[in-house]
Amino acid sequence: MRFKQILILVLALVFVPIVANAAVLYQAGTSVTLGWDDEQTNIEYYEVVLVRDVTGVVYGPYPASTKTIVIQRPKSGIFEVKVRGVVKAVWPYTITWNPPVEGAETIIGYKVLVWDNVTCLYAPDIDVGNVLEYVLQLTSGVQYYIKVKGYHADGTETGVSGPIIITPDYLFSEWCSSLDDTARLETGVLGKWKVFFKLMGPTGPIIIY
Amino acid sequence: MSYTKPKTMMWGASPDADVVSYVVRWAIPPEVIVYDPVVNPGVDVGKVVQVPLPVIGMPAIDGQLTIGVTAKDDAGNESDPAEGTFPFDFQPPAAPTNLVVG
Repeated sequence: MRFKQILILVLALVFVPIVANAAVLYQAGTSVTLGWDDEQTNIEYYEVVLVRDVTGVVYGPYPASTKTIVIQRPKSGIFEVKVRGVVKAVWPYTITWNPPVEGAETIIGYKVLVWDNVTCLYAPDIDVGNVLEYVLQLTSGVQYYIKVKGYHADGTETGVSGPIIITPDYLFSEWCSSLDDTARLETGVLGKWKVFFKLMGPTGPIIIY
Repeated sequence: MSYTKPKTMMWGASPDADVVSYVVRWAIPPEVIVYDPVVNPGVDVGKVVQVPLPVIGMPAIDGQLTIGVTAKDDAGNESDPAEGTFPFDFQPPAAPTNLVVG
């Protein structure tokens, strides 16, 4: 999946004419506002991370439902900014089970029970017949609790199995970085940049005694 | 044996939780302190808010000295400095001469 995105700084920031590793440093205060472009329309949300120079520690991901975000200073230092789009996907999951230890010979079929944390309801039981596996189509970002029970010819049912819990993954775009050639400054000028959260200095006067 | 009366320098701690140490630099006026850590790394005195003077490498001066203190984080980034110019006399007077007993 290819996302075409361009990062820009949105709000006016104090421009610091420092160039480090060919990237312009933007000095931010206690927070920085970031924005980006994206031609995609099926984005569920965006993830923004800050990658700190020297230590390489990644801060975030910070989720954003729109194409702009305000990030509070996570730590002093110089940070590359990266953003990626996140979309929902439907994944096939094959669930399997074993017959009960006792009474399996009279079972004529199984039912799959699916509960999810979005509707907070059990879907109607899925009668899968007398098989020991079934493929479910599950949506990313939703947590599913899945159980199975057997049933007999007379309509009676077995107890339900212990649940399996599945949370399918999202699909992610490639990262778009403030160091990409497409990164641009708030002026619209193309240019690589990093965010600089300055360390707060000593307070008060120096005293000699 | 001569004696130089020690001095103590103190400053207010940075409110930043990311501080791991402080760096002391100096210059003799009219020179100004160079805060580029590549050119002038200064003396890392640790995460303290006071140090005895002179620190290692500081000139035993009898006159004005400008001193700057910056905070440093774990990535080597430094803050803006707290700075001041102060009179110092780290040089003991010359010893008496012509000691005679009669």
